[in-house]
Amino acid sequence: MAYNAPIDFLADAEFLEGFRRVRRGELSLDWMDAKTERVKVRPKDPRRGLTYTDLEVGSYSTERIPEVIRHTATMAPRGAELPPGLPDMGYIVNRKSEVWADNVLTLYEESKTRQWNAATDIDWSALDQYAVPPDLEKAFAQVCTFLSEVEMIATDLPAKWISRINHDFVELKSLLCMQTVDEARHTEVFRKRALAGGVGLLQASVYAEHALKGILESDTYTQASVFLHMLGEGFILSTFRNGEAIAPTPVDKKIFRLVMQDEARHVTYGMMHLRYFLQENPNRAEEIHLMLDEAETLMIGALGSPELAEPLVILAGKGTGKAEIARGIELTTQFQLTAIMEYFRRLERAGLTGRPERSKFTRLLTLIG
Amino acid sequence: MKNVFPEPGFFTELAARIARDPELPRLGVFDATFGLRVLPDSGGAGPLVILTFDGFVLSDVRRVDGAPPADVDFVLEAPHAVWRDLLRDPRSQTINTLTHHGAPMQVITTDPLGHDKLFRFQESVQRVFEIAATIT
Repeated sequence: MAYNAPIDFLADAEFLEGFRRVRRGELSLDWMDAKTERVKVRPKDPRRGLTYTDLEVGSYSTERIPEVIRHTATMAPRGAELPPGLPDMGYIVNRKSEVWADNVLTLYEESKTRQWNAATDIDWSALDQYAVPPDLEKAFAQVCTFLSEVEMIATDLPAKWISRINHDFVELKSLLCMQTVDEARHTEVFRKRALAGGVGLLQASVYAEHALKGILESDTYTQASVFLHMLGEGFILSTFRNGEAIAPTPVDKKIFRLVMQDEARHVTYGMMHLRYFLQENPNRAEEIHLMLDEAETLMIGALGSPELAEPLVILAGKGTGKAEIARGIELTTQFQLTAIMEYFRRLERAGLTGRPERSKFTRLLTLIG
Repeated sequence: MKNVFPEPGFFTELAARIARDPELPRLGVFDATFGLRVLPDSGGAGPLVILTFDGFVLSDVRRVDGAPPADVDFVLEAPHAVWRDLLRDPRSQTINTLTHHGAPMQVITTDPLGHDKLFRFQESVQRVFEIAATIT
């Protein structure tokens, strides 16, 4: 047991007397007079139910969260009275601009309603209806191996930070919890697809894992978010879209459409978080640029790893013959270029200007012609 | 009014079928405004039909000429033959497959946030065309 509370409850006379008083029916009812705002909320749209947006009233509103939270480091719900003696939970992210985005509430509600089940929403038995050539099935199993490997970072990373973020950002922490579930499901669905197709898992990727380690060890939450949500998940979103287009069966197309939706939510949060961060801290843009200078190199390694690039080429070209490989290279290059352009556009939308000029992706394009 | 894509009668019927569809709300909230444009074979830009989904309902259908209004997240644009093929078999010619390489269907958007809604609500957009395919 790492934590020793300042009170030993069974040896504390005041606590025990209070306990006995309640048992005797002598209630203090002090909590009834808590100095908090009395409100009564209802759903604005009954079909959506009571959403966090409906709770944007008075002192409970997220707009009232100050940029720097100094008054609480506890798990007390925002808006509750804070009695003296609440323990400090040791949060290290206490600035709103270091976690917030204007779309946190709507994305949280959206993510809850758009959940799906990898066990039952995919028609696994239907895979038997499609005769996928062995080379294509192996290529698909390799893509699934890669995606099952990398997707869990988007669970591990938010999970690492959630307990470090001040509890006043409870809606944001809840959104990150939803992301951890989304990404666990992605790891699950690709693992299941690899094993359901008759091949099983193939080879892990050294290059990809360097990128995963880079994401996990980012210095700050915002740096981690930009690396994970905008760079990593932005490119994986493109990979999912490409996967849907080149998938060997309609079952696989559906898998990619479903994971695509989740991934796009995470990218949208990341884009709007960076925007919020830069609006509040315009002088910290260089900090993001410096992180991306290194992160982009790691991402180039992940995307260029043979465990991903080669099976994508085979799937896009629909075979391993010379002509198929050539066609696959053409289509894969096209999707990679689109992914790079969309990454630049999202950064610009978030307010990070000048990235293409110093980006490692721009250098990569020059190097490979 | 004819129930032929993209005539107004088609969208009246589409709205009615969407309202009766049990699958679309099961996919979750769908908050997007997107346009459909059929490019005339003779060149130029045809009229734009704009669908607004608000939560679980198709709340508005309107037609405009010219550029998309500012509230439109993205526009799907293709020649008539591409739309016809999509509405014949929306499960093999999916919206993502048709738009992925910018051809044969284009996604027109000025804002990455709006563009990403096509991906956030991909299954819902796809479902709309599956419902549309039951009309023709």
